[in-house]
Amino acid sequence: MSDRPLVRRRTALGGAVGGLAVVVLATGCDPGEDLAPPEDDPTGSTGSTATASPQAPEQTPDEALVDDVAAALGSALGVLASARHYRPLRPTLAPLVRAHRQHLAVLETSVDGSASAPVMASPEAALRGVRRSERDLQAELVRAAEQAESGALARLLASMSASVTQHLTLIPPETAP
Amino acid sequence: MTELEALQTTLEAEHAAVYVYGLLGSRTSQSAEAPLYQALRAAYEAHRERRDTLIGEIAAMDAVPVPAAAAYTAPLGLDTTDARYRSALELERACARTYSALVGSTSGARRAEAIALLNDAAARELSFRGTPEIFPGTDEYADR
Repeated sequence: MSDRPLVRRRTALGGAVGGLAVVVLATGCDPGEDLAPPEDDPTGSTGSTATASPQAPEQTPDEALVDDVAAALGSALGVLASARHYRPLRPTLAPLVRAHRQHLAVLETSVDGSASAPVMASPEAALRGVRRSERDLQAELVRAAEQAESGALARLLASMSASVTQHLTLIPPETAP
Repeated sequence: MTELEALQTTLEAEHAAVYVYGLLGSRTSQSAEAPLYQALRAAYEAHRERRDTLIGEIAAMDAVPVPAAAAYTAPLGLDTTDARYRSALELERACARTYSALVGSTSGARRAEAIALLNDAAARELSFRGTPEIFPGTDEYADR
């Protein structure tokens, strides 16, 4: 089974994200463009298009980016949930959990919370896992911000990456074994 | 906002940042307020370097880089260490908002650089007693 958390409610970009959704959709491809039957097909239908659902419009590149980011946030939350098994770490990790949840909320996306990572052998190992996971998430957010077609989405993702940078800075540094 | 306009706005912010950080540094004791002094010094040098880089980039676009203002209004109430920390934090947050706007107005390598600047400003805020934010550099998502 994939470790990627299941996106349970995916309304991002379909709703209003402070005008972001409109911008993203406006810069994406025309979803109907590729659904038109080929001109040389007199039946107007092929084996594949005949079964295509009108309820599933083609995903724009920015929508795909948001899905990737939501999955990365879900993975990071899973690692945090695992680390919170160690009570003394909870105060340190609580702000990160809040930030990730608010980031998901702005994307109007939620993820399956049951996809937590395995519990690490010690609090130190758990913190190492969190650091690694957050660094991966920060890199994913930067990548997505660089690739976004919408400037508004790029700003949002870049801001989220900066938030992770700030939180990462305050995670206690690793000590030599 | 065009890319050039966003770059010019960022340059204006860098001119102001260099001035204010210089002012704050001049009012901070290198020995008695060492952590603040070092943070101000690092910020001053970083923004001065960005200012110079931006001047070069804008000139390379066959445009005239905006000059520094003839005069800047100094922040009020810089008599205490706490006040200087606050002023530096506000300044860096303002820079983060400028970089965020630059992200939205650019693409490719310039956007990548703007994202790096935003991340750097966000991290630098912590050296001025800032705390992690949910959406650094943006105001519109802050209350969500």
